Amino acid sequence: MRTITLSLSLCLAAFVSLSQASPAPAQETLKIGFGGALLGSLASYGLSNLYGIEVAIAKANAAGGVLGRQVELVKEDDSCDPALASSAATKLASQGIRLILGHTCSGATHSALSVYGGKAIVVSSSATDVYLTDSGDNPYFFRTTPRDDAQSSLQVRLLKAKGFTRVALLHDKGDYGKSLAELAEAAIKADPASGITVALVEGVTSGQVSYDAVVAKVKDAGVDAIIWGGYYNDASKLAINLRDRGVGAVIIGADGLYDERYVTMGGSAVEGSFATGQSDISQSAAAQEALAIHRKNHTEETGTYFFYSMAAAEALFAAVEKAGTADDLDLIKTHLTSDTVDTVMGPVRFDAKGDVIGAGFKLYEVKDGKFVEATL
Amino acid sequence: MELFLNLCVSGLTKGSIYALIALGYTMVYGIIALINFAHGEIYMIGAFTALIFSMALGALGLSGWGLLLACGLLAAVYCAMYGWTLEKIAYKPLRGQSRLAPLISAIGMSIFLQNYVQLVQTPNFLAYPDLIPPLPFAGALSGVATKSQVAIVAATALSMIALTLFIKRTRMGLAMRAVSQDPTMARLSGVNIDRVISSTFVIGSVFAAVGGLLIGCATRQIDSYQGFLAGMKAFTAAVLGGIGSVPGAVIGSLILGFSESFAAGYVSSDYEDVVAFVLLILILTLRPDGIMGSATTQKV
Repeated sequence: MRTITLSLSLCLAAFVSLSQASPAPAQETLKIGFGGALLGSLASYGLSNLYGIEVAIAKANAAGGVLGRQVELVKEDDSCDPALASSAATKLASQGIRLILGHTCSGATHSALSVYGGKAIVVSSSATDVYLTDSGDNPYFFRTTPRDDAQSSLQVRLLKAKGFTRVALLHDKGDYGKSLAELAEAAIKADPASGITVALVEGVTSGQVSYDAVVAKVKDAGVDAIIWGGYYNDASKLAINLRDRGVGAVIIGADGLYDERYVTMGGSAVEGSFATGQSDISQSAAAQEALAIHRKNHTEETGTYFFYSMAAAEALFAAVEKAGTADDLDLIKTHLTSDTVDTVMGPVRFDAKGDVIGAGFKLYEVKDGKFVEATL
Repeated sequence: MELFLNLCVSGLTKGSIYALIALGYTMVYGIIALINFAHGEIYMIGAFTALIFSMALGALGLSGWGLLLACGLLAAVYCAMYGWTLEKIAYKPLRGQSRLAPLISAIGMSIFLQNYVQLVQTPNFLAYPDLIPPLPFAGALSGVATKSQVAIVAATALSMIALTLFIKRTRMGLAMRAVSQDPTMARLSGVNIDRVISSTFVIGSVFAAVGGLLIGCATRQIDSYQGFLAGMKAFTAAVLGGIGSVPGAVIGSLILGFSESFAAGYVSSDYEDVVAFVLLILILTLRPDGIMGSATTQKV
């Protein structure tokens, strides 16, 4: 036993000395932090963020880096969990990283921002909660995705166009989902002339063994449409449960539902559903080039936020380059809000609150088993 | 009235699913006084294996009741092996240690199995096929219960009857009762305790696999995390009914299922867990050993 321990520790020692012997890089890299869901049930969103960021970094490094330094990405998982997000943020901040891309989900971003406490520039590409920028608490927070209230007003316009008058608002009890339901309710109440009534507001516990009780309530309320605040997985489960029960109400979701897997998992039950979502820009030349770079390294799909995340990284790199420093946060902020940068999603600039100018939501409908753009 | 009926059916279904899982918790606790936290994961693995077998057997041309039964049987056998191995690896070496050691080991196994399935299968959500064929008397029940709800309640009822007969009528059932009452005395009378414990894990896992398959067919979606919440609720149900007692687990599960369903239906879904857990606190305050639990004195 003793000899085994001895030889093991000798082996380990050899490893240590070998790794120390590797040559030091010529110049220090520029460390960028990424916080988001790399594990857990929402990992597909975080990976989509990560893939976009990786392509932006690959492009920047091939062109000589940012400020003449190669960019190095430091990844921390938060699983979209606010508690994990604050420890991920602490890990990143403790390494002295002051440029952060992320986080993936609104709730996690909210808790991470309180850790960064104005000591880092944070650019998210998927946190859509209105509060993050409206509160004014986060002067160094920016996002390339449009906000949730833009989705709600689009949803209400859809209700009016289709003549739906009784609506149920369902959500997954999470930050993102609940806020979507509240925004939809506010948008409906702000327009009393439309004649739309909210018949029911209910939440479902994500991952419960059955949603039957809520489904029974929706059936009892007799609604024409359901506005869903939450992600695609619960929505497709709910849709199947509703159709099994003979409830035909049209399901209207937001960008959390605008995911191909909603259709693959929901099958015929989700046919005719609507979703608001980020516009599809995958056909542009810049987007095609980005996709080609992605496919060289990964076989996985790019996911919903790929281009938004890539644009977030591109905008941040451009602002740092123009500021000539990675440390003066105020100067970087000035460049983010005053200069327009050409990114994969088109020209990008941020307003004083940190919201992106120029990007909007489109409406999609599930037709014959896939999402197609719908017109009002 | 229709809402009331629908909520009753929903509560009964939920309770039945909890019962299938709660049995595993309560039986293991009854025999070796261990809370097997990895049991929820066995339920999740049951759902995954049934899905894999259904694809393989579906490709071979099997369909309808044959496919459902074959998948259920194979998933049950596979999960039984998991349950058996789990006990041998994680709990048997710790037998006779303080009660905390196997508990920690159980939590570790739960995390391990969750991550294992994520690695070898997928971290994503998977669509689940509807393997339950149309029921012959569906017309009479339309609007009241769906076929998956009928199937879940029927399967649970059959499982409970089979388990009760097994415990009351067979030699292994007798041995289980003996070990549960007094392990030392049972051993002295020639009962092979190892075999009894293994069988307990195997039986609990079989029920969990059946639950995994049926709930997969009902919700039409599975993921590697689904065992956690379901396991927690089933564990709560087992405690509510009196952990260690088989009829107690069923009663506890039904109470939990109905209270959640009615709280969500008549108050708000925000209160479904609140009502369920307030009920748990009340019952445990009035009857600390649960509804059917027998008071045990701690022997120091």
